[in-house]
Amino acid sequence: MAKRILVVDDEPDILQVTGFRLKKAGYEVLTAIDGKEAMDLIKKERLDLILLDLVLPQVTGYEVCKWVKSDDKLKQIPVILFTASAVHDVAEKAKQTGAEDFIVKPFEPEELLAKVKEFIK
Amino acid sequence: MTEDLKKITALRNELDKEIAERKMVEEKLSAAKEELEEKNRELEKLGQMKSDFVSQVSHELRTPMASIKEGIDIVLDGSAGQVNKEQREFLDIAKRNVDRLARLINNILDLQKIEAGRMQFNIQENDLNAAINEVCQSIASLVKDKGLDFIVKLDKALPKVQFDKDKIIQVLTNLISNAAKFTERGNITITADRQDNFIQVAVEDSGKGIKEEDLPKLFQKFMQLEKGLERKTGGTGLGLLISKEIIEAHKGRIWVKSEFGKGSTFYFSLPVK
Repeated sequence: MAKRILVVDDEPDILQVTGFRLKKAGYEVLTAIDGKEAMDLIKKERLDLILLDLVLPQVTGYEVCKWVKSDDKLKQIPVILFTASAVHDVAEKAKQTGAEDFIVKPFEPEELLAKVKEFIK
Repeated sequence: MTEDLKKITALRNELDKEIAERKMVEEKLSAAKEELEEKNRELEKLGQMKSDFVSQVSHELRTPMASIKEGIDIVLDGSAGQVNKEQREFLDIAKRNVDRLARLINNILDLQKIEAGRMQFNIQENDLNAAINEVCQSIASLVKDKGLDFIVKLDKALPKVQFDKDKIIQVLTNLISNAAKFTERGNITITADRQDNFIQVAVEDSGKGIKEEDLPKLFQKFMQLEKGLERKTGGTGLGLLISKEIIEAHKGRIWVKSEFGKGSTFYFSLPVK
């Protein structure tokens, strides 16, 4: 069974290009364009990894991550934070919210795939 | 007599003392004034350096972008061979985002020029109605694609106004394309008429409107009320601020009336000579 990844980003172009890369690498990809949609999908679907942008409308990436990591059933899903550089102190926030790791946009596709491979269940 | 002489000498000595003191104060003031002038010169220099830096960086940024755009366009138009649907899709994404980058750089440069007081205006007698029609024509396809209607009511007897044609077209494009972006159904109405000593232009839309608490934030830097939508439609968050600066440089006013859920009307005025 293919591993499933949820990509969350408020930019449709980013969802398209990132989704494409991940599909080519053999993963099944789900996408969400805001925090609320992400949370709905996380509750409903079986997921093996979440790639989460921080700057999202309404419910932010931090809030989604904290919510996932404080839920007994969901906290085992690995979360990789994914955002434009220098927006926030990503490394610090990653630690605070319990995310497994972070990656900075724009990213090299090899780096993304390597991190996904490292953390995916 | 000796008493009077003593008194006069004493007074004279006091006067001399006071004069010496005043001279010292004057010298201190003069030194302080010089220091202030020196600091002002330094500040001006720093301001100039900042402007130059921003201009330089913007120029540097534009150079590689030109190659990126051309590279993409060459492949997209089939000059380098046939392009399949999937390839076209991703090239379109690339092209769209390069254009967005270009607009952002232009806006930042504009803003920098405005802030440094170096934006140049070519103010001449121009036909405002013609400028409005020109903008409507260029945005016509965007509006029609969304199924919206353009209603243009321009007072034919408008007096000629003094303005910088390119800059006012920039303002009109900003306001009218905003109206088109944020309106899903209905129409966009543009009116121009005389109000006392001003020509008033209004761009009204039947879009989603703006919340009252958001109204004061509108003309600020990088203000995007609905981040997702603004980015999807290629906005930079600087358009309204630049428009405000342009109108105010023309000694006009720009303002907005809106009702959340019903629509908005953006107004600007230009003085009649």
